[in-house]
Amino acid sequence: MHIVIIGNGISGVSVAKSLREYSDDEITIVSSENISFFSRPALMYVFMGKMRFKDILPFPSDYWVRNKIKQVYGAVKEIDAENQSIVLDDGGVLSYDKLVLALGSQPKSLGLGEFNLQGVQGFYSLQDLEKLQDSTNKIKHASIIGGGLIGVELAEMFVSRGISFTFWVREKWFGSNFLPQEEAEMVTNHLISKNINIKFEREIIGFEADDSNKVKSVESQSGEKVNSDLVCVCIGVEPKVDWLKSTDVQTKAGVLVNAHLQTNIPSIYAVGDCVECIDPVHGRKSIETLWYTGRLMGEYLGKNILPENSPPYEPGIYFNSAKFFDLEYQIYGDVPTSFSEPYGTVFWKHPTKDKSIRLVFDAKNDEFIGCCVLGIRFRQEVCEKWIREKRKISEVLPLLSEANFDSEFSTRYERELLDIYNNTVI
Amino acid sequence: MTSILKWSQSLFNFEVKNEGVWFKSLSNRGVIGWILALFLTFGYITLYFFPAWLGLGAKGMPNTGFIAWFDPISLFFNGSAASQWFVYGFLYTLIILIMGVKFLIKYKNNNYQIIRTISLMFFQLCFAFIIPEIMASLNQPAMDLKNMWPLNYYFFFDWNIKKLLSSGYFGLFLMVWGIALTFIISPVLTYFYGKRWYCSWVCGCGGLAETAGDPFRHLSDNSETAWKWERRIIYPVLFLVCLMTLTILDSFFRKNPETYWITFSHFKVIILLLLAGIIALGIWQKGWLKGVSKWSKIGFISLGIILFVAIAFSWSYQKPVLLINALKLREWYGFYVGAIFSGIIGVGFYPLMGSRVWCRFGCPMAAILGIQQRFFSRFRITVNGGQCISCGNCSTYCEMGIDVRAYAQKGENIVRASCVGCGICAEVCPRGVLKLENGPLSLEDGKIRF
Ligand SMILES: Cc1cc2nc3c(=O)[nH]c(=O)nc-3n(C[C@H](O)[C@H](O)[C@H](O)COP(=O)(O)OP(=O)(O)OC[C@H]3O[C@@H](n4cnc5c(N)ncnc54)[C@H](O)[C@@H]3O)c2cc1C
Ligand code: SF4
Ligand code: SF4
Repeated sequence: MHIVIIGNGISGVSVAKSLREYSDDEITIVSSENISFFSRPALMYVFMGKMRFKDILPFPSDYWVRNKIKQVYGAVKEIDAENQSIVLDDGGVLSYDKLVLALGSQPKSLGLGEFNLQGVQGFYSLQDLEKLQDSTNKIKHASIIGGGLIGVELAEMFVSRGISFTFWVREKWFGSNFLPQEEAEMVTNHLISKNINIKFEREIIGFEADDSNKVKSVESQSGEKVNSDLVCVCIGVEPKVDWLKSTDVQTKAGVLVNAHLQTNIPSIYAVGDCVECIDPVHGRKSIETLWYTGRLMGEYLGKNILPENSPPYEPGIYFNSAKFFDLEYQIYGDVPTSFSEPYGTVFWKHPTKDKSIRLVFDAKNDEFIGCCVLGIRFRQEVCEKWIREKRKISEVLPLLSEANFDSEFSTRYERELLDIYNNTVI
Repeated sequence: MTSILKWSQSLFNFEVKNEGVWFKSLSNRGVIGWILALFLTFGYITLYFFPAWLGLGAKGMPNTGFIAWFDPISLFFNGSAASQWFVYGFLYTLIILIMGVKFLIKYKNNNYQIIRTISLMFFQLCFAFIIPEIMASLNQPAMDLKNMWPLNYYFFFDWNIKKLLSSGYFGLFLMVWGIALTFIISPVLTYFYGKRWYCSWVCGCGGLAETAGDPFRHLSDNSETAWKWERRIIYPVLFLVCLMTLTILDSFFRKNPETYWITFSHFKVIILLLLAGIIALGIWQKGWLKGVSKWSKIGFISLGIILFVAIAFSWSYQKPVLLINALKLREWYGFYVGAIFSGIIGVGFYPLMGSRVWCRFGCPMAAILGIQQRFFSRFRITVNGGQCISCGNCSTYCEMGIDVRAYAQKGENIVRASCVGCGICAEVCPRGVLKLENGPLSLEDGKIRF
């Protein structure tokens, strides 16, 4: 049996890794980005000089040979589902018994044709990083468009290298589309404290280029024009599936898969960022562009691609984490951005420092359903256990110190949160 | 002008956490790094072997030049002119204090780092520097009360034993303290807290590595090859120091078989029992020894048995133990391990191989504590579920060259002999994945878990 995986990001590699744990079948991974797997979220640290590129490769270089995982460098252009083979850009043909699509995403465009201009780019791939590094020393002023996770990472990167830039954010607060209001305000204040040039409630409506098609400035809806010879568009990502439209694999926004991560063609599967679940598990999005989702899907598929009658993919309890400059963020379970019925919440915020704890519960039956923390670390196992066991919020609060994962001797704040809860209940 | 301004700002902007370390010549093995390494290395060589170049006065002559600058300070502390060791100790302490303050500012948001660094600075200043000076000025044997055998390899040397035993109750106290430190206090503390209680809270070598060495920690090689060499070097050094101590004590007792209440025959019995105990441990290997490979076990046990037989034989034929020339071995160890390895390479190579070259590849103390930490300690680094993004910050900034990520991305807790518990991996992790812990109650069932 030959299993071919297109894409060597976290999802593709997770498939190969967990498949290899119990099977000796032939495994080939194809990628056009880099011959070996690297940590995409760590690209920023290479730019900041915290690590070299070789430091962000999660496995030693002999790992692939040792585990008999064949690596092929090249872009796949076509899938011939009938003959079970794929065609590479250099004309090479690989035949497969099972094919896994782990294609990842690409930066979304504003729809203004901006990616045709020189000096306008996204920040997703190794090639994007290289482009950025090339232009860094030549530019006078940059623009970052989009107040999302990648935008804020770029801001941190630019600050560390002393690049002057303007950070354009459409919302009133940074992160208000994925954080509750109080947290969004805290993160926003943290960004402001970093002295970065951040403009809220601005949408970019146009670009100006010079004669050689090089970007000169950006223009917002409020009429400002800011000269920028580098523009990074980070308004989100979308599955990288354009080239699949000409194949028999069914796609909408992403590759459509059933509960077993199988596409409309039975021998072809898909995992990670490029997936669009036809029928997502309750409460989950049909497209989840997360490292963790990619890994979980990959591990699931590696285990279940060969056996008959495998169980459906079960994403488990949601979790995620991020870092906004120095401010760490973790989330477990279900935390909405606003708290109307049926959500109830207890929130504590440090009076001076950037630290907060939020627990979320179901107001009808007091069951604990999620939590998020800023500047504090929580233990995943404990939070998940409480959520899975549907513990009552009144039961969870006194035990909260079990969930704390801060380093030893850290000041603890569980008491404050409990007091807030007791005061609001009485 | 602006670039000078920027540069001087960056000098004092300690908050910047490791940004640009791979761009700077000082910290990426660039020209400045090499110059510093050469400077340190030659500094050590001069200090150890050619102190006269630094102005140390020949027998009875007054000091000149560099060393003479320190005469007033030395006079103040112990009433005599500075020796090269006084200068060394003084500068060493000063650097730990200055760079310690820098470290405190850099990690000011982390209480673990703050308390640990203050502890290091305290032990260096008081235990390594001031208290021995006071002891000396009171005409008592001067001893660094935290420097234990086998790092302090001369503790069991004949001259040290004689000195301590001829200094009345105070000397006796030092003798008992030194033995208790190695054989009782240290194992107990290591059981509860791991080797970090010593290596990154108390030890002087650790003190310099953690403070002055902090800008170079990412230079420690974290490949599997480096790990292999680490084991190939550190355990033989441990073996050597034990062998040397044994031969020195043997020749000491040979000369004074009945002088002390521990006689030569007591000594023989103790050593043979100790060896037998170690062999038995290797054979018994209950649960907590299960991670060791079969061949290391077989090698370990057969080496033990060969030694046991050879030692018993040499004693029954009234020969020096294993026929080794104790003085030669001591001279050899003192020169190659004591001076060249721990001093010249250990510190001189900071800008080339990271801050813990000696602690990682050479220190016999670290070897013993490490073995205990690996098999019989509650300390480990806990991994927070599946939050790892395999970024590699932890592996890059581990000064012991441990590939922390290899464990973290599998969700596996880290229990490694070499981990000194500095806590930097947990500090630099951008996703809050790592936490240093002493076997807390198991989260599931409330039972203690190793
Ligand atoms: C800067 C940045 C920071 C991030 N930070 C976080 C974070 O902190 N936490 C988090 O959860 N997520 C984060 N993400 C998202 C996370 O990186 C992605 O969800 C994850 O990498 C997706 O993995 P994947 O394997 O599905 O796809 P990818 O990592 O995109 O891998 C897909 C690979 O397939 C290759 N490929 C695609 N099509 C072809 C073809 N036709 N032929 C050959 N090769 C092909 C691509 O070149 C690519 O190498 C971040 C993303 C970015 C860009
Ligand atoms: S593993 Fe972590 S705590 Fe241990 S030595 Fe390395 S960085 Fe320090
Ligand atoms: S620093 Fe944290 S997230 Fe990065 S590899 Fe290490 S444990 Fe994982």
